[in-house]
Amino acid sequence: MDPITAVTLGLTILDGVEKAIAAGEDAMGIVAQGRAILQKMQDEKRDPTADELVALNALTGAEQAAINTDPPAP
Amino acid sequence: MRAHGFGDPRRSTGARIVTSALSLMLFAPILLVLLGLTGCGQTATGALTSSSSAAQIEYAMQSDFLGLQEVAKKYNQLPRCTAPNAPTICSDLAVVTEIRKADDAAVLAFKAAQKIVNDKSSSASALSKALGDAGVAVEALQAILLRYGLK
Repeated sequence: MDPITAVTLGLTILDGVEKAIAAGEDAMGIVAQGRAILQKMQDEKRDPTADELVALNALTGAEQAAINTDPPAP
Repeated sequence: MRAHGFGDPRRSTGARIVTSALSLMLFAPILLVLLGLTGCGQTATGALTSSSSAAQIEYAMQSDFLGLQEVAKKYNQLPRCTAPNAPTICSDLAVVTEIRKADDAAVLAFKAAQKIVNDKSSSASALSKALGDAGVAVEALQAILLRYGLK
């Protein structure tokens, strides 16, 4: 994948996510945190560290578990 | 209305996604320059630039995906519409089932993509497919959330 195509894909996804969650303040906060870490990586010209990936995967897994858990009855 | 909670339902079709992707392919270089000049990349599109690595792009997509998961989680946590004494704002099990399926698929796609991206011997086509599959999976969940007006 050439860099422009890869970045375009990334931009498409990020733009779509932003539109989808525009009104969700909690969700936007989460996205902003991820983007801040990404910005740091870009500034330091490095890839995500193993610890950063572990943390990201843990968050993704926790959200997945919550999505797959039924709510209590009202 | 007891249906699906908040907001107006909006449509997100494959055609719109393709059109949007094609538009971005055409204008990405200009967009990247503009983002760099205005310094608004952080707010509008994260920190991706033309020099972003595959690992950075995967990270950006997955961390943004967390935002969609948060929206999906909040909807799932609403009482089911079929429950006795269900409130007006409730969740439909059929929608939750769609969301769960799309979310599970996206998580799997990200696991696969991360593995390939972190393998320095991965070919360009493998990287392309892995990131593309993750992108399709994210868009599938996003389309469900948009279709039902979930935010």
